[in-house]
Amino acid sequence: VAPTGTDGAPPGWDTNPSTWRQRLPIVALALVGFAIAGYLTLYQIDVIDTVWEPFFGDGSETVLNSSVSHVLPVPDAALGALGYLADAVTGAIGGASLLLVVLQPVAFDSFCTLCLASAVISVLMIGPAMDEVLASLQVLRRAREERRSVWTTFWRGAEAA
Amino acid sequence: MKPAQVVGTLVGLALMAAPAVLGYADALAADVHRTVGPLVASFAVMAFWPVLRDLRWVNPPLVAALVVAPLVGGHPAAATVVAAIATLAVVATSPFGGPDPHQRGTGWRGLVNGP
Repeated sequence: VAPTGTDGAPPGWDTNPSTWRQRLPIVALALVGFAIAGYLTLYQIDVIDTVWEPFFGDGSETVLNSSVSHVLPVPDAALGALGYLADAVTGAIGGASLLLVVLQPVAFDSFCTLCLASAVISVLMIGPAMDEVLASLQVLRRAREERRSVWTTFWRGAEAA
Repeated sequence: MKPAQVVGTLVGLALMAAPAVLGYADALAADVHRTVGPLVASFAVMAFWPVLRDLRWVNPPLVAALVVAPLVGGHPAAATVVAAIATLAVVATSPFGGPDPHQRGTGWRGLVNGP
């Protein structure tokens, strides 16, 4: 969905939320998140034997070897790395890791420093991305009000519909 | 200065650390605080961005769980004090989150109410 208006800003907006100036911080955060999740994946698939943990003793190993982190066929850190990579490529927003932050102490009585860092990055990525999300949702809402195809608008922009 | 966001972030982090620091890590209260804490901190951090200012209003109902929890299960005195301070701090500062300086069309409400 490509919002349009003066200087590319959507109607009723005083800024354009789709500029690279807005997107670059998200991409940068995503790349840092990808690096952290990739490192944790290397531990989970036994490429490296230990994982860096400066604060919580063996907390990282407890969390990364927990049943929850292996509930899917692929390690959860690998999914996180893929999510961050998609974020970096698309400038879109990934899912936050809040559930794992809660589960670390509640279910496993442990914290994992790099898992927390990854979760913080996920949360920090939400705010800057939401401008564009809101603008896009408004375009779709207008298309619906004007009885144009929401599906076409979603994929090809307001002008195409 | 955005008191709601700053206080919410600090309260969330404090709730995560308090069970270990104040010695009630094995109590039910610890699970409650370690669940509510990350949520409060996350919503507070997200509310720093103008487009998500209103998210700060999610936190008062969340910390209400801290008040209700001692009625459900026994809480150590330290946990009750932490819960009371956290609740007061979040509720008292929630109205002061700062304005959104930008025009965003019909805003989030327009998605529900129409253009």
